[in-house]
Amino acid sequence: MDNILTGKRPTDVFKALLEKEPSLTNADLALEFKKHFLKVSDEAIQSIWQWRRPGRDRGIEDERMDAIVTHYLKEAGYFQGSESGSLP
Amino acid sequence: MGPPTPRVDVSSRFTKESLGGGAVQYRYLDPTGDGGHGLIMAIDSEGTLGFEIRAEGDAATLGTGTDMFASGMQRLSADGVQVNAIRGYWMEDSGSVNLQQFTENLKIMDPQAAAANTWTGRIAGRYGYLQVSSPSTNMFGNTTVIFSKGTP
Repeated sequence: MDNILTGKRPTDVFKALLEKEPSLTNADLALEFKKHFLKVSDEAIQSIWQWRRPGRDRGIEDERMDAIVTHYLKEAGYFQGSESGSLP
Repeated sequence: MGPPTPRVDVSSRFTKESLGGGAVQYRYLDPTGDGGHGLIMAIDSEGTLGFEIRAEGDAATLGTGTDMFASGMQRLSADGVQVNAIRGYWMEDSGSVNLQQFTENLKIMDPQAAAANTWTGRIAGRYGYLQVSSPSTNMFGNTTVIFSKGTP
């Protein structure tokens, strides 16, 4: 999860976790995310629940999910220069 | 109309997990996959409950949406978890029934009434969460509305 803060896309991090452990649900991924980023709004958690993970027929596509999750991380101050700052 | 009584009571079937910082999560089955059936509830440190619910499986044995929500609220009460407010967070492209209802309602209602007359708004109201915040839609098209205790 920490790789997200060094510029890795959140959905790529989620996919890497799924490769290691395919039985993880979106709820599991959201739980892991929240454990790493305690200050982040629960709206980020609710967003990850809706991710269109590989093989899923519906949900939020990667690019939009990345933007949403990054937005909430910035809002919580996880990126330097945060809130309205640019992506790392 | 008061809180619903679950016809299929699944309150004992939730698993509880810590989200850290005083926040907790309760899960019954998995509502986050295709053909999902279940309820997941995240309660933050301020007592705001966000949830995802789907009832696409066998409702007769696994519970309807109302059964699951009522069971979840019973479980939270039994565990002493205080819910001060319920957050509706409705995302475009997620197949959200609430967002569909909210959008339809906006044609004939003001935003707060439109939110109150969604599935979430109605069930929140049955638990006394009748105060409705002004719904806000962010740059991604996701709408957030908070239902709090009190009169409208």
